[in-house]
Amino acid sequence: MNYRLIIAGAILSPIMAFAQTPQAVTDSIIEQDFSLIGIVDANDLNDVIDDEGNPTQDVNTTVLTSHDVYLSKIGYQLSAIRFKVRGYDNTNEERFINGVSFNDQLRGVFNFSSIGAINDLTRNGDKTNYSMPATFAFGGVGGAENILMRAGDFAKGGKATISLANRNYYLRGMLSYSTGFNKNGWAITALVGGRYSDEGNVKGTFYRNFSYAFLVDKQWQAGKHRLSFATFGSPVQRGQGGSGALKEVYELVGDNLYNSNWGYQAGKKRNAKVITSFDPTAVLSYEWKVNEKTTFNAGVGVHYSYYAKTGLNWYNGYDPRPDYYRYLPSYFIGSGNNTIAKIYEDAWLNGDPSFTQINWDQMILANRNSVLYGDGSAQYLVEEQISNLFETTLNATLNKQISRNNKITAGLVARTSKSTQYKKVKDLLGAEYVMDIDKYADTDYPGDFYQKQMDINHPNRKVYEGGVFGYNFDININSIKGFLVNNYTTGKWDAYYGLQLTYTDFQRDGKMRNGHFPTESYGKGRRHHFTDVMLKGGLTYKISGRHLLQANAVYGTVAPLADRAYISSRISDRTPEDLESGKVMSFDLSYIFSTSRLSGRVSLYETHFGHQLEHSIYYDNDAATLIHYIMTGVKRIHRGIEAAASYKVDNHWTLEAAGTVSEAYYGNNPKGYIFADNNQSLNVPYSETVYMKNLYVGGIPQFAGTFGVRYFIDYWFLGAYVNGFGRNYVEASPGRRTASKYASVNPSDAKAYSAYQALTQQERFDAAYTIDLSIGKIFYLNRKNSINMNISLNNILNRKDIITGGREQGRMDLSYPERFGAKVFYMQGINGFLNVSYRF
Amino acid sequence: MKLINRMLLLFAALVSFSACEGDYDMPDFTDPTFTLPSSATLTTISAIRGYESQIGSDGVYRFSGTGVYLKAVVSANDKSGNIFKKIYLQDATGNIEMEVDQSNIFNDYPVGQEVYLDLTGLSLSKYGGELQLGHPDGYNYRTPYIIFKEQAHKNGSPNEKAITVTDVTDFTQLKESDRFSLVRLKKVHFENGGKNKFAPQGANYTTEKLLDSKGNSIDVRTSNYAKFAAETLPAGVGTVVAILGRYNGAWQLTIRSLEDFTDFGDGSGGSDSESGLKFKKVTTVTNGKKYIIAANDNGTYKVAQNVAATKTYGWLYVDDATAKDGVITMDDESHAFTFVANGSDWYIKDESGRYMFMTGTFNSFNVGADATAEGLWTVTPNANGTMKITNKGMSKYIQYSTQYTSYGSYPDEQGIMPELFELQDGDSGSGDGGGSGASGVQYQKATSITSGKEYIIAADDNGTMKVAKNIAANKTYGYLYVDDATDKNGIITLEDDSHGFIVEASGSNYTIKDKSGRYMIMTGTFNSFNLAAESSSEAIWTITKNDNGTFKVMNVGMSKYVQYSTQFTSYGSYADEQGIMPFLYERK
Repeated sequence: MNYRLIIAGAILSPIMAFAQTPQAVTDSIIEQDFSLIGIVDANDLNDVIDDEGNPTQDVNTTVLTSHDVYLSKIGYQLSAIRFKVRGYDNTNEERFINGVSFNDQLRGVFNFSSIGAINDLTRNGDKTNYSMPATFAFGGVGGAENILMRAGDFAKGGKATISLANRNYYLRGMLSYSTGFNKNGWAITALVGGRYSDEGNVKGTFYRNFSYAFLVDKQWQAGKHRLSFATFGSPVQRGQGGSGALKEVYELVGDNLYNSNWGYQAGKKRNAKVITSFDPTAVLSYEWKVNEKTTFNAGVGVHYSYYAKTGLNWYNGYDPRPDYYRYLPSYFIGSGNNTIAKIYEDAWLNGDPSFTQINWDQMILANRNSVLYGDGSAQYLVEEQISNLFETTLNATLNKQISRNNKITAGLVARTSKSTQYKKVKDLLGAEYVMDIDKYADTDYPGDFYQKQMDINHPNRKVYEGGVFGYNFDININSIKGFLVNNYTTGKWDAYYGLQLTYTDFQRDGKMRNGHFPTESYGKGRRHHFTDVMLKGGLTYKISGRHLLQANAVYGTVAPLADRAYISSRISDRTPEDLESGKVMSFDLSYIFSTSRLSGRVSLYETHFGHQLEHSIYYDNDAATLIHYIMTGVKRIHRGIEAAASYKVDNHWTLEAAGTVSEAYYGNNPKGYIFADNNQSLNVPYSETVYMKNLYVGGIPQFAGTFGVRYFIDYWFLGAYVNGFGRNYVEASPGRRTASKYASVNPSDAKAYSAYQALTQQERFDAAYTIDLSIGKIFYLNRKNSINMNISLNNILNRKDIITGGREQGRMDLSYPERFGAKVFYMQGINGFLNVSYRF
Repeated sequence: MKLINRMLLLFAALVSFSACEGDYDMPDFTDPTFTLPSSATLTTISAIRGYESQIGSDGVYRFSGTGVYLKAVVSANDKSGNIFKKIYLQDATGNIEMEVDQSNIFNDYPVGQEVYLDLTGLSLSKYGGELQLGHPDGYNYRTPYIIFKEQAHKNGSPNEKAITVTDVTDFTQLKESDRFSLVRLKKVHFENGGKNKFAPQGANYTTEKLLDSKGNSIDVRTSNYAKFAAETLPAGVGTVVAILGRYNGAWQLTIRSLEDFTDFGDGSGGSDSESGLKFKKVTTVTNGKKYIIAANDNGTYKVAQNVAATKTYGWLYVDDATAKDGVITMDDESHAFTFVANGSDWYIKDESGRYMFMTGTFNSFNVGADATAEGLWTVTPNANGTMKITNKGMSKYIQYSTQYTSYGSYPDEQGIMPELFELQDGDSGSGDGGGSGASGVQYQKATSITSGKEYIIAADDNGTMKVAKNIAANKTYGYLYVDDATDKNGIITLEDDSHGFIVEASGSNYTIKDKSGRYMIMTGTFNSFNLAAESSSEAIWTITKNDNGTFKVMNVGMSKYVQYSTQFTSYGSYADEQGIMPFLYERK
């Protein structure tokens, strides 16, 4: 058995158990085991990207359950409405694994997919909220989490989990086993898991994922030294759901989860947007308890994130997207042709997928005609955009208790990353080749040989399946940071202050000489470097052991992300002239209380983000070309009140509520740089003021709250929650808020003026509420084994008309202001999750 | 044990679940067929045209009832971008244009495709006096594409041979029934062939005149969205297939694609007319002689162009030509390279005097003003008559790449080896060293300018007169390259008058035309010259005499004046003094 265990251990078969003892469950205040509900899985929405390559909202989820009542309730209950705590961008939350930083250097976010279906091992760790000090990091305004995946932390035993859901996957399974530390100081944990659906709740999607994790721990001198190794990965291939559509389209199709990305090919559903992603990671960390006052941690983490997304591209063919604006009744109504509008409306209502979805057969036949009667070049093809990142991080932290009241945390982080981005031909759909040229260049530079080349070094190159084309570049990013935090504790007061210094640099290395920018695309570009300082401090006044008053402040600068710094990184090295670090200034004040029955918090906060960069891409009607828009010097203000309370009525009933009344809006009119791929007059970027001041940050419900009732009896956990949200605004498009777009509007011309008003008004989505129910039960089979079952039903009123977010199109037409409306997302109707896990 | 086995099985199962996205089947490629329903009736284009009188005051005649089909063949579509949202149908009785509200219809309905068009709900309307099929409610009567697709039933595979093309040699013979049909016009030429483009930027449509052998003309109308819009109108005489249209009673032609031109000389390539410069195939190279580099690609010779004047590096792009008895005839010397001996090696100079060299890791060519070690080449004949022209420094040799449709220089065999063709002296339009005194055209040094007279522009470069050449017939802009000449007692004699410029008064200023009647203009930020068919404010020059006898020929709009640049061995027009000011010589 021992021998087989070692082999099996090497091939990931052991199982693990949760570090919870039966005794703890007698108290109803014990949180329902959220591990079963798959908080992390909501993240799969986070790389929804619209047609022009702009990422839409990222979902803010937590991995570790917070002990803070507000954060633990809000994080899970409002994930469906894509709520973000304080409206902060995901880049403000720092995530670590075994003490090593894992927010990637390119986009500044944590890749949740890397731990997909590994949930059973990501339950342990440290979490600090907002800008509070941590032992493992300096932390940003959005808090920091250190997920501990160390074999020795898991008690001996195994766990098998099976889940059923009606979301983007239907089936999830995880099997894990831990040995716990044996007498020689070794511990091994292994996990194997997966998620699957052949078609998710959204039509045309599919989900195939398997996950693995293998952890080895060795400690010696009774835990004084500990070396932990973790390797894990979760390769996934999935078909994307809808990227947002006009309200008109949802109505015509009669389905608020309409997905325009799929269609039939020879009778089989095929999704044009397939994402393949795999982020194998390895972390080696070392912990040294030097003495009872001093702990030293060091770690190195390496990961190679592979991310590929397919998409359609077309050359001399008509637009294959079924919801292209010219195929909609509104296009004809706008031009006054109601009869034709009716014909199109009927076609949509008819629901023939060769019209309402992508018509693959037509594209293949068009290519076939090109082969038989033309030059064999592809009119339509499937391309794959690849963004890989190889990243190595070294972390070292020291925690020392200098005296009874005084503690110091110091740390050093060094990181190097290489981002490789290119696209390749995935499927020529029956054509023989595609030419590596810019399909829009002919209109603006007719006959100009060089302007249409994507790579002058290899002009007029024929590209075959698997070939790289279009763009190809690397970005090398390096950083080093050091921080020091001092914590001081007395009976009545706690105080801390800290300083962090960061040096960052990045440089683009182009592999193609683009025809529009031949002197600034090929080769190593300008090296950008930034030195940043961050200061923070805070004070806690202990009114008593149960009542605290707390104040925190942060002030500092953050280097811009390489992903946002380039105006058009695919074809040029250019950045805005005023590229600089962003500023953050934040203050909050809280009253925290925790009595035997009632606990909670009330907070006031205000955060100013300054000198931020925001980036968008859209097709401009007037210029007839793709526009890259960068706003620099953006100021955003986030402020509000948060309140949460949990009241234990008796041993059975608990009442909880959490909510926020807040506002997050733009504090200035930043400078916008407009940069066109084509269009000679716009090829030299010029800048214009963008009138964003007082527009709200989109996609975040600014008023939100949840109220729940929980009942516990005899190991049954029952819960009912009402979630409400309002003041959710559409993401405003900077392209619609420049003076030049309305230069022709005469205010006394009623029609033109009302068009101007319609186009600049920021739409607010309706407020709404949903009701969730959950039922859980733990069965103890004997002292060690247990079965934990949980059903959660969300949105039991089956509301399918709730808009969760959306984005204005940059494209607009003054004569037809309603034509390019916002593309929105709707919430799924009733959805549920059934989890059964068995511990042994 | 059992548990571990189960887990390994589960692992294996999960791995297989995540196998890559499945392969997709191709749709059925059998050609669609359509059988006319038994209750249906067939009509013809001429019958449809018969409804013209029934077009109402609302502009349309709506086809009544259902079950009436038109069987026709697609004779032209929007493949080249010159035709927009239309399709042309043809049957035995005639031709008609149909409006369809979709771009790039050619992908679904190739030329030669037979269709059965169900006329239910469609209409006949009139535009510019001519009938068109369409939909009564569509914008501009364009048929919504979903209706077109539903009602234009494809039958069988496209067959281009099923289209009838009428031969025409005399435009006055065109008949009513030829309307919207494909015609093959023989022995025709463009009025501005070799000079203007089909549809330069700026206008949505451009009209050019096409003339038959008797001098009758027809307008050729080209959209600036056509793929060939930026191409120059073919020079010379040839055959063109086009759609014959009519607008308000006047015939007009719409070109489908460049492939519809045959037997024309293509602007700069070989032509089979008597004029032109002859290059003869050789296997040895002589110092100071000019050669063209041409590789035989399946019967067509790909003649290397010089690297563009504004570039300092690049591949050598090509023009097509044919060889007859080992001779390729070119319109001018713009593709020539001069081989200059250096011991047993060679320098290769292009027409602007720049040396071809290789540097770095590139397989492309660099050009520069100086002769350097990087510009040394060896020339050895291969057994099959092609030449191996190897750069000494890089050990790379010149080949024509079919993949990149250009010449590069590679370390190994990856293209077609070129042949060398030597310029034959007898036909050169201008020789080095000027012409003899007795024959030729004489120009006398001018001290003043007379409107309507012909002048040559010549700058004194250390005793050698650099005489400006006209810009090549197929180009619309460029610097003025030069030929050398000598001034004998104030007279320069040239072999012919091809270097002449006609100066005409314009108020107190002048316009300058070249020998083909094109106006020299300046536009944009360039120091080179542009050519235009019409005079404009950009074509106005002042000509003032300098103290030393040279002339300041200044463009009024740009305030730049003509000078000979020794650096670039050509004339440009600069804002400041950076070259040699020219003399003007008037034709005697």
